[in-house]
Amino acid sequence: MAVTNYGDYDAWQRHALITIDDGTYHVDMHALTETIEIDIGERDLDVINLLNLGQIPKHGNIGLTTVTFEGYAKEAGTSDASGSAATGVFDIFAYKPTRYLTGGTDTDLGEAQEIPITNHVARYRVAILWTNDGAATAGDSAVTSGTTYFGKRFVIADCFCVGYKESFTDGVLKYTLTFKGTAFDASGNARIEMQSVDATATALSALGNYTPGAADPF
Amino acid sequence: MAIVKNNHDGTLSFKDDDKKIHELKPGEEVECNYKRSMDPRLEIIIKKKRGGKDGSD
Repeated sequence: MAVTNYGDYDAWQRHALITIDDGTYHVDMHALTETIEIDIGERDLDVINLLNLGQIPKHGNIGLTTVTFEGYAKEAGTSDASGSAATGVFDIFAYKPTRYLTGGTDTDLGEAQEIPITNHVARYRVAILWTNDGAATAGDSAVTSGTTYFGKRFVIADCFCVGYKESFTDGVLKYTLTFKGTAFDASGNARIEMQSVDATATALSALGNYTPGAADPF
Repeated sequence: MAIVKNNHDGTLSFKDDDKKIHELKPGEEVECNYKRSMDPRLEIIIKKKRGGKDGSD
């Protein structure tokens, strides 16, 4: 792996890029985030024991995938327009990025921020990119082709922001933001993709524009 | 319709809205449906509609 100021010699370390997209608005969360946890749903597997002491594996379906971010935000949401770095993430949980509701009207989020909880449930695409290509600035960025740059990206589409917790137990205000989603849509199309590129003549493509519910949301 | 230009000094690619993958050399432009990317190295130039009565090209 190329020598960069990130120190990514034999493993991805220390830095990552995160982008949350609802098809209209998108925010980059990496400047707030300390930890990322990706828990891809398990394939259910059971055993049927036979009287001859043989065993049959009994296959079930794949479970929900959970992505959890822990981070530190000074604001409630993100007040800037599309494409900006997130300054807070409660808007993602309460409604959708950089938006809030005023008297039931969908409005850009300005200052001061007042973000009420709503029953809106937005479908999100969460893209997390590890790369030593310093020019990539977002989770859905491309990785330059050539012998220098590597990249690995996890994408989950049509997932939902199901959890927002805040704790102030260590003397610092920390949030935990949780997304959950299925592995497939109703037609059986994949909602999860893992991508990578290995310093070859081919670049890792920037993701396409996200359309919630699209057959190929990557 | 939009034009995507690679402003970077290396080869970049992106997935168009019709899911076709375009690979662009430095400075290269391609016409496509891709309307929005957060990657500043890929400049998106939305083509303005020209004169037809119905607003079509």
